[in-house]
Amino acid sequence: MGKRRTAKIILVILLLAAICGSLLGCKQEKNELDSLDDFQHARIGLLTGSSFAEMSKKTFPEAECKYYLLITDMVLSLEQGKIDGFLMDECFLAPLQWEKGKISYIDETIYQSSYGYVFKKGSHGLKEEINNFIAAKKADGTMEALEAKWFGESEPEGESAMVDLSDLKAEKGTLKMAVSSSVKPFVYVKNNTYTGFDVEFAAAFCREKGYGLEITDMTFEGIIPGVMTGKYDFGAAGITMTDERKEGVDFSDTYHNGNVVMAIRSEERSTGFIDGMKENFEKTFIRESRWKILVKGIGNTIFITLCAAALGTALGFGLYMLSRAWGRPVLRAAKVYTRIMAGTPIVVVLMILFYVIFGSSGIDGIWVAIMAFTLTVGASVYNNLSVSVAGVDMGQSEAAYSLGYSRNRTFFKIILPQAMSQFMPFYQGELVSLIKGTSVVGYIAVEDLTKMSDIIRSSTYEAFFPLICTALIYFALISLIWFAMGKAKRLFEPKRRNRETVLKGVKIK
Amino acid sequence: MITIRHLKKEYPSSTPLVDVNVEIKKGDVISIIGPSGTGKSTLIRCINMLETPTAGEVIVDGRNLTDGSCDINKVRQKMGMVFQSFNLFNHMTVIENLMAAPVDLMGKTKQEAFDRGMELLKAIGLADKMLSYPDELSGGQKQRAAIARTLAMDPEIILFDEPTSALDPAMKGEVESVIKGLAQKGLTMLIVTHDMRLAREVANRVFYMDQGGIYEDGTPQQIFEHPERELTRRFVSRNFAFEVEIQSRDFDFLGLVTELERFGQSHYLSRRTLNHLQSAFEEMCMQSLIPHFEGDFKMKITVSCLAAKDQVNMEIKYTGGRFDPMNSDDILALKILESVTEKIEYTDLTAEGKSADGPFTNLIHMKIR
Repeated sequence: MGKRRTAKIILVILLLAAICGSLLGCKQEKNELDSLDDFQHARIGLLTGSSFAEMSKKTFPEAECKYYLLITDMVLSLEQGKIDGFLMDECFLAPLQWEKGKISYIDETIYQSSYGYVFKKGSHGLKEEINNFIAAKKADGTMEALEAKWFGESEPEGESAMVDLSDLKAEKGTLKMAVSSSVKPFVYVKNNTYTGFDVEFAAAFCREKGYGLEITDMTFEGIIPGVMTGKYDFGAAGITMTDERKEGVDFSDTYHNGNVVMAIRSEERSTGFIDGMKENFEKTFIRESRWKILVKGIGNTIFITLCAAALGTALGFGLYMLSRAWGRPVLRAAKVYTRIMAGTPIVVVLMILFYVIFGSSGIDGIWVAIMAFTLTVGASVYNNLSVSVAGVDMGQSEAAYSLGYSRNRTFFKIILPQAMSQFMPFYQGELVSLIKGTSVVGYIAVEDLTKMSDIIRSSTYEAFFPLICTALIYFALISLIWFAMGKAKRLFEPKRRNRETVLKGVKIK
Repeated sequence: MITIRHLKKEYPSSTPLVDVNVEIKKGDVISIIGPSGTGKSTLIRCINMLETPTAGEVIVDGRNLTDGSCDINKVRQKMGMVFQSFNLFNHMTVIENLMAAPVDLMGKTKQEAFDRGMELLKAIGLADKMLSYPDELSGGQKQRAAIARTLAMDPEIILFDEPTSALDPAMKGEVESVIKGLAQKGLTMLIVTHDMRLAREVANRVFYMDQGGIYEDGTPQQIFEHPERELTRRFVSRNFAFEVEIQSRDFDFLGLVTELERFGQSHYLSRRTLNHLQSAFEEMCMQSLIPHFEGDFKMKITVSCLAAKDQVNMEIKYTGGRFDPMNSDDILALKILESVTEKIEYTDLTAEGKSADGPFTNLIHMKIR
């Protein structure tokens, strides 16, 4: 009885809720709004950080706007009736047709958009080179062929769907390209590598000009800040040119002209529930060995958690020891530090470290993530340790001093062992919130479990298995930590020792 | 053994010690008494440097503790301290409490420390508690174990900071007898206490502290019987009184007995005196006076005692016509009263030359034995 059974019950309830939710989600009527005029008072989905918002305000001033981070989330919302339609470029809708065809669109261009690559403001050499390349490829028809391939009615399969970066010779150095894999068909993950229009085009450019190519995946809205700070040489993710964006970055010449249309629900395809689930499962895990992506994500999540836990604990303890040794100046500094950490959302800490402090260094996001969480854990360990030590009665140290114990020995022999039994429950909770907290590292291009499940959702347009699976994995990891910490906690409970341990090395006469 | 010169301790809001000068000889057992806030605890905490003196010198065994180069930890090993709140190490068993410092600081082996620890525990009657944790002991047991922990270091000096103040009266006795036993063994001891009886019985020297220092220093005899200075006299002859009025036969008898008990305990009356006081109250009021009254009556009982003496007086005033209970024919009650009092005096307040106190017309004064 107890924890285990409660955990099981919770699990079953979660699963039932999820299944019910997805069943309800499937039962949607066909969209009744089928001309643009109908959308004046409708609920319209828009991609955060996209160029559609401004246009939507002009065209549908009365409509209710809802913002999403991923196209896949808008697709799901549309399917489930949470929105009536969303603004999207025709070329982004192509892969939706490849996948299932639940989405169609009103065949009426709302406005035209131009796509370009982004560069740091005022950069020249590389931008000119790419502009020349774009012009050349437009002239010789390559561009048209690429458009036909990636924006066509069926998904490129086999070898032609893959972009090979291995034959790039970095004679003139390696270019760092910031992308977001959530923008199929421009950039997405297939068979565990990056592919898509932008990737193929960039690879072709590098091949011809003698560059190597290093791709970093991040959230769409992270690309422009990343390029602005010079962290990446250029950004590509089906980015449309807008006046606002042009203030922050330079664009290359237009490489593609798109038509923005209103995506709507189409006739529901009638697959049975079980078949639907089977297909969903197959797409999420089996096809293209997508489970490998998840495994990699789990690895990264565990790596970040373990490193940050170890380093953060060392930092917190170290800082506390310093504050004991050096007194006031360290105490003040520690107070400022812990206040800052306590008062700043971890996402903001991540972004500041990644884009501001290490903006121009080539440091990998995963190390920045470890750093950010180390700082958070360190602050909390320091705080909790201070509270726990202060919670030990003053009389304990006075008694030790009066026996002749030095300050340090008193601390380690008398105070710390008693403080630990206060500290451990805090610490257990801290590690659990650490592992949950790591789910935001996707903001700085780290491929953790959450980010990986987003990548899968972006290429399958399915929510059920990626989300439930992610939840279960976090739950399992947290249970593991809880269990391990529960064991560790017992080490610090003196009363658990038996007679033999207490009297070790002593003969009773 | 201990020399204190011009010791001053200043806090931001008060200065408990202004200028303390004293010489303490080896084997001295000193009680430190005085009103609250006169720096009694501060003085002994300055002697082992738990408080850093603001100015002045503390010299123990020729070593000047106030000199920065002195290894205070070494000195503390030979100078134990017993605290009001025991301060046993909560994460260790009793025997580990006794073994820790000898092993860590004196270089004893675990076996040596264990044997010595058990010897001490046996001597204070706690051998069967060796594997108990402090929170499993009673207050008296904790304090005895704490004293044993101090003794395990073979100290030459022991400082006691109100060792019995946190204990129930029933447990004071067991700790007191341990302290008395130590006093016979030639250890130098300083005992801060509010328990005048303990102060008097255990010490060969008493410090009365007031006005920022040791106000009067003398033998127990001198301090408690013939104090030379005004404040000492006032302190040891402080009068504590307890007063109650009874107007009905059905008053809360048990409640009143309990209050008498509490009064006696809080002024360190001995068990014997307290029992006599209770018997006197019961025989006089319950057996003699109350049955005598007809109709309404009023009775005022005042119990008073001196701060430093195991001595208590009871005064009973009551209404009605002249009535001297000592003339009654309840032989048994009179016999008992005689055995528990030294003196019983009856006064008729309506008689010539006397003045009635409000409605009260009779007065009985008893000196409890």
